[in-house]
This record gives sequence, C-alpha cells and structure tokens, in this order.
Amino acid sequence: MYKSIVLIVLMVFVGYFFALFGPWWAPLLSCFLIGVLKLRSGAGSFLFGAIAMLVLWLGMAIYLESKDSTSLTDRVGGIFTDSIPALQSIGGFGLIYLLLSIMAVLLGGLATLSGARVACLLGRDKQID
Amino acid sequence: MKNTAGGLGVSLLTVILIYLMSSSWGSIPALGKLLSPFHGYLQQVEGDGNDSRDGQLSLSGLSADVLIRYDANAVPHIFAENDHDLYFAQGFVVARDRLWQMDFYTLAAAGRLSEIVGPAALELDRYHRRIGLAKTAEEIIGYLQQSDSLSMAILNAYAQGVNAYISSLSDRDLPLEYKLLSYAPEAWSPMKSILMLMNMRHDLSGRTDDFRMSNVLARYGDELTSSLFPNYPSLESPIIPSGTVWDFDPVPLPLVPVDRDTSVALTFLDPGRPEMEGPRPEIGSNNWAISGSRTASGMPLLSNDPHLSLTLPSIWYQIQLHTPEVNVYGVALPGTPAVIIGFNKDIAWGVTNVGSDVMDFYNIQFKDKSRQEYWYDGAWKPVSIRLEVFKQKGKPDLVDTVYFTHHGPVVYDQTSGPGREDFPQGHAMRWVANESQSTDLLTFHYLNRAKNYADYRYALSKFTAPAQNFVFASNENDIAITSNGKLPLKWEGQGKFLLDGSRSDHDWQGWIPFEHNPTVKNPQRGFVSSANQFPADPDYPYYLGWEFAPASRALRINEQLDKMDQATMESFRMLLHDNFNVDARLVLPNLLQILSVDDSISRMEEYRTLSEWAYNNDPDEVAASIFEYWMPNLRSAIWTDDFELEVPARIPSLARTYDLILNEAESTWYDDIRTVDVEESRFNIVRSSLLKTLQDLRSRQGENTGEHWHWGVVKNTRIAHLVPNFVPFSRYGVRNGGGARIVNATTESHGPSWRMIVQLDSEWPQALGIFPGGQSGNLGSPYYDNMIDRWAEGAMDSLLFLRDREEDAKELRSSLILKSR
Repeated sequence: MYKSIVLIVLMVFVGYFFALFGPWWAPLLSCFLIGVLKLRSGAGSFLFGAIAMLVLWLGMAIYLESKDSTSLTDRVGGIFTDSIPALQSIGGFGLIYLLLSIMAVLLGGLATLSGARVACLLGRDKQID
Repeated sequence: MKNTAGGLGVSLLTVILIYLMSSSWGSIPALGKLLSPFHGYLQQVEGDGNDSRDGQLSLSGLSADVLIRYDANAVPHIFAENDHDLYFAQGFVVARDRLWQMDFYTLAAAGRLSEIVGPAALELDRYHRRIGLAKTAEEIIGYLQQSDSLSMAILNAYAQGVNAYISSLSDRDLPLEYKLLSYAPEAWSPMKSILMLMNMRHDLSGRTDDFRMSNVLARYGDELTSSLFPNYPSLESPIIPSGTVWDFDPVPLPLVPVDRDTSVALTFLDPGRPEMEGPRPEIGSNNWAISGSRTASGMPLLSNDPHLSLTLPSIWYQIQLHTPEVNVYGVALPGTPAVIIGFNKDIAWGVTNVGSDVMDFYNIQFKDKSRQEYWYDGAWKPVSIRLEVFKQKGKPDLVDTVYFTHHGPVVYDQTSGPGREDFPQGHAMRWVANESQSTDLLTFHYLNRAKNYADYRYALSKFTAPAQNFVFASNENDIAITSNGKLPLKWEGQGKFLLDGSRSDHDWQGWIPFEHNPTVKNPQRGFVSSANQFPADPDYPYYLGWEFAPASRALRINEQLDKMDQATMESFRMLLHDNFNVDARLVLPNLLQILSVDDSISRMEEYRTLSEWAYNNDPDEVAASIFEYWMPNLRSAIWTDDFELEVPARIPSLARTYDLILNEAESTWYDDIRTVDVEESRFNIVRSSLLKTLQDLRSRQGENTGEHWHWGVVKNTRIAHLVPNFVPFSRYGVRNGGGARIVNATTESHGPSWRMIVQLDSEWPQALGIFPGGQSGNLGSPYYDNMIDRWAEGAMDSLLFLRDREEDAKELRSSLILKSR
C-alpha cells in the first residue's frame, strides 16, 4: 500500500514537470515510464496511471479554478452544452470536468498499462502489481 | 505471441487516442489541448489581472526602454523615447490583450475565414474578396511604400511590436479562441493593419439603395419617386447650420445627363437563394462640442459616442501614448496604430460617420459571354481579371474569377454565390473604399499631435475614407466640425439609381476639393454637432447623397445644446444618455387623436399608457416598447402592399411616413391594394397596426404585466462575441434604455461603443469615458467585460491622463518595462 502511494506520487510529480515543459500529452510519458520500470501488466497498472493522471489534472485544474473569478469553465463548457440539447442538464462546468476526468483516467491508465506491457515483453521483473 | 500483440495493441490504442485528442474534428476542437489544465483553456485564468501586467521583458527591435503603466481599468499608459518605440509598444500591448480579435478581423477582411472555419465561411469570404477589400489593402500598401515613408514606418513599428508578442507565445499561451478553433496566429504585417481599416470602410460606407431605388423608379416613375423619396427631408437640422456662408467658389458642377434612362425593368438573381447582410442601418454616431462661452469653466467641452455593433471583445481599446513629442489619450482600433478618438493637452476630437453616397453600381454591357470586353463611350474596352484563391479548411482550394471594369469589380454575376439583396447582378461597383491612394493613418498620427485648429485642418487633409464628421475643440477656445474624406463630385442625384456603365458622363467626375468639404468653425450658435444627418442644407453647392440618417437624434441634441449656457461634464453625460423620443413627440399625439374616436381602443390600458407617456425611452417604460414596435408596423402597413414588387425595392422612410400621417389625411397610399371591395383609410391603418403591435408584444413577451413589457426587457440588448456560436462568451439581457433614433442610440445589437467627454483646459484637460466591454479580449480576465454594467447604468469612468512617466496616481496598479535587447 505504502509503495503504491509512493509510485502514484512519483507519477504525479514527474508528470507535473513533464507537463510544464512538454506538449499536453507529456505527463503520459511519466505514466508510461513508471509502467515500464515498476508495474506488472494487468488491470492494477491501469489503475495506478488513471489515479495519477486524475490527481495531476484535477489538482492543477482546482488550483487554477481557485484563482478564477470569471466562471471560465462554465462558459467554455457552455459552448458545447448550448449546441447539444442532451448535454444541457449537465451544465458547462459539469461537462468539462466529466470529460477531463474521463480523459485523465483513460489516457493515464492506458499509458501505464502500455508501459507495463512493454516491460513484460522485455522480460523485466516487477515489484508491484 | 498473444502477449506481444496485446502489448502492442494497448500502446497503439494509447497513441491513437493521443492523436485523436490532439486534432480537431469538424467543429469539435482538439480536446486534449483544450482540456489539459497545463495547456488548455484554464491557462487563460488571469487571477486579478495585474500580475501578468507587471515585470520586465527583454525584446529586440526597440531603440530604448519603454515603460508601460497599467491603471485600475487595465489601460496601458505607454512612455517611450521616440515614435518607433511608441508604436512598437502599442502593437505589443494591444496584441497582449486582443491578438485573436485583431487577427480575426483581418482574416475576415482578407476573405480568409474559410481557412480556419471551413466552407461555412466561403460565401462571406467570396463577398469580401469580390468587393475588393483585400485587393485594395494590397494596393494601399503599394502606394504607401512608394510615396509615404512615415505611414510605412509607423505600420512597420507596430507590426514589429505585434510580432514580438506573437513570437513569445507557446501553445499554452495562445488566446482561448485559437484553442477552440484549432489554429495559430500568423505573423502580423502592415497590410493587416490596413485590412483593419478596410473593415471600417466597409462597415461605415458599404450601404447602397441604388438597385432598390431603380426598381421603384421603374415602377412608379420620376414624379412619384421624388415625392416619396425626396432628396432633402421636410424636417432636418443639418450639421453645418443653415445660413452658413460658403466662402469658396465651387468647382464647375457636373450636369445631369438629359437622356438618362429611367425605365429600366430589372430582374434579380435566383429567387430563394441565401442572402448576405450588408452593414446595418443602426451604425451611426453622435458628437458635439460647445464653445467656452457656454460652459461653466469658460473652456470648450467635447463629446463623442460612435454607435457600432456591440461586440466582445470590444471594438475599442483605451490607451495613452507618450513620447517627448506627443501625449495623447483615447481609444484605438485593435490592429491599428495611433489613437482614433481622443484628446491631448490642447485639443480633443471625435468622429461620426458621414454616410454620403459613395457606392454606386453601373450596368455593364459585355461584348460576349467571355466577358473580356465591355461597351464604353462607343468602343469596346478590355476588362481586367483577378483570380481569387480560397484555401478552405478540410476542402480543396477554390478559385474565383472577378472581372474588373474601370468603374470597379462586377461583384455578382452568374458565377457568383449568394449575394446581398441590394447588389444588382452584372453591375460594376464604384466604391470610395477601393480608393488606394490613401494616407488615412496620417490623419490620426497628426491629430494625436495637434495643438490647434490649423493642425486639425492639416490632419484632416490626409483622410480618404470612410468619410467622417470630425468634431474638434481646443484650449484656444475654438470649436469646429468638418464632414471630411474624399467625397465624389457628382451631378444632382447621381447614384440614387443604377448608372449606365457605357457612358462617361455617368462616371464620377472627380472629387470635391478638401477645402470645400462642409465645415464650420466657431459658429454663432456656440456649438457644433453631428448625428449622421445631412451635412448641409440644399444651399451647399455640391451633391452628397439623397438620404442620410433620420434627423431625430440631431434635433434633440441641438435642442439640448441650445439650452446650455453653463455646460459641465455632467450636462454632457446627461445628454449622452438622453432617452427622449423626438419621433414620439412629433407623431404620437396625432396618432392618439386619430384613434380617440374608437372607444374600443381609447379604453385600452395600452392607449392610456401611451397617452400618459412623457416620450422617454427609459428601461422601465411600457409605452416605449409599444411605440418602438408600432412605428415599423405602421410603416409596413402603409407601404408594403405598394412596394411588394417582384424585385427588391425600397419603401419610403419613417420620416416620410410621419409626413404622410401628419399632412396627408386622405392619401390613397393608405389603401391596401391587396384587399378587394374595401378602401382602407388612415384610421384603419393606424388602428390595425396598433392592434398588430399589441398582439406581437403579447406573443413575444406574454401579457402586459410586471416587467414583461418594459422597454429594457423588450429591447434585450446583447453584446455578442465575434464568433456567433460562442454564446456563453457574450452578454445578453443588458438592461438599458434608448433606441435607434434616440440620442442614447442603444438597440438590440448596436449602440454607443465608446462614450467620451473631454473638458478642455489651459492647464490640463479632464475626461470621462467608458465602453461596453473591457480592455482584455481574454475571457479568463476580470477585464473582459468589467465595464458593461457601468456602461448600461449610464456611469462613466474618470480617465487617467498622466503628464509624464513619473506622475503618481492612486489608480495605477502595475508597471511593465520593455527592455531594449
């Protein structure tokens, strides 16, 4: 359990620095690398990356939201909910965070799983599943 | 083997997902880039907006350091050592706040929007190219490169500043609209600044009635057409006061061709095709200045409020520009150097649109289907051809062929797509906006530095289009106004109807000399003003056009200015927000009198509301809602049956409608020719139009209870984002008063885009100003729309006009230093 938390924190920490200097998908490299180095192939590795990306993106988003006084998220999301009636009940804010969370979970999880599978192909031992 | 395939499959799936989220798909933006908090829309969060306007930046292209001090409204006050650095810094700071907006405007004018939004914008692009905006901008740059090194130096310095900002941007810094529309800014250039001015030429001088009037003429003949569409209205208060002596000898006036054909039957393009909208008639403005002899301070006061489309980001940008040679404050157009409307220590100036007839259409007789030659003065004359290439997003390029005669482009022909209803097919367009020997920018450069009346006149001599009424006041106690720009020299009525492109006597016959443009300095009445009405009465020797904006605003402004003898800034602020309805005062008592014989009407609650109305279009007035809806219905009820032709046709103006109601009780125009066995009277038409109005209001607003019918609710002013689909970036339901023919000319979508009052002073001027938006174009900035509520309430901000870079002021918030690298 302790090692799991450490790995997730490591992924978030490294992903943060990748995000500062790389393209939007750069934090996924952190997930991938940790997957290669530390995780066994399987559903568990997906969970590690999913949680790490979710924490990273949500953490940064919440930090920026705390500085915002313009309802930016709601207005950006409103562009989509206005044009698609089925989405209006969710609201702009809800839609954006739903999409953001799905993307973080899916991409983070797949990146880590990819790393773990690649490592598995290379025949490397793993410490944690 | 199975594990290998599985491993590669997961990796491949991840890469595909990353690719899909890095690209835009139709109108869906690249979601990865947009939603990543490290790169996407959340990077637009500005906090309190001051941090990003503080600090130092090292830039190449400057000859010395530039200090930019931002005040509490995020207005930059630029202190530079020379003009080059000043315009460089202006380009830089405007781009920081408005890059996407200025880029978007210039892409629109260049006919290139389809490059970023795809085929949906193609017809708009074709329209902009076919009327010549991009071609003329290219030619203006060519002209300036040949003959005006000062303009080019200014434009180049400005472009360098914009580009310094663009090159500092990474993907994550791009304005939000780029992220949503999935494109990136290209380098700025002097041509883009000229395209920005071409937009204004289009919006302010791009209206025409020639086609619709020719159809009226063909149907009703000369006499009736003249009666219904007179060349000067019965009620007017011209800009240059009647009785003003013209102290010049007019150049020989062109004679009206005696044998012009007025019986041309016209047809129109494919019925049912989509139509492009031309500039809206609401575009107009007010300005005025009052002599020191009528102010409390003894020095002149000046005011200006240009009425344009209300947009976010705002069309104007407040700025102070300072070097050892100039110190000026006012508003600039994003993308264009210098201050357009403003003041300095000694003078103030403002502009309204003249609206003279500067767009005419010529019937062209081509030799054959190849359209290589056209008939002109007894010989075949060659056309020139320009190929316009459109790069559409997601589609192959499209090439459009435009044919040019010596008059100008044939805007619509059988190969064109959708067009404006007021543009005839197969006709060449002569339009002042396509004049390329143009130094408009110098007018503003020199006005920014002007010290007195002589400087003002010199600056105005550099201006071409769109013709503007330049109001002026100085601390030498001079006031003046000039209807200025290149005004074509025409015979009386030339261009009221379509012209014959095969005859040289139908060509424009040169220009009215600059010195002969309507102007007045220090008139006896002690004030000058304009509200887009006729520049001068029929005693003025030249023909400028047959129709200008309705006199309503001008009448009210002049009445109020006439009463002022101790005017203050507050008097001017009140007048800027004046909601008095001159039209209602003129016609409503008569209409109510006509209806008073009908008990079923006179007992109605709405009749009582109208009877008790003090004629103010205030936001909580129900009567204003009824009247403002009633008048268009009344006009339509009288004329539509007679002018519902098989081709587009004008109907007589509201002013002519009032004339009819007030002075022609028994006219046959009241009869609806579509009804048989019934002859409608004035009473019938007035009654039915009122009942229709009440029904319309009920359908739209519900019953007349609570606030449902209040004018501020009914009018429902909106300030919309430039991208129509970005509704949440707009402000709807902005509650205020006013109206189209009210001094406070706020309609549903147009209105005072900048309000300014300047109190001249021998020591230091004071000024108030506000626009309906904010300094920043960034939705995530508190300065995006922070002025809207104050603007709607009628408040105005005190403008901080600093004497020098050292002056301290409590309003200052941050300092940005641009270091010369």
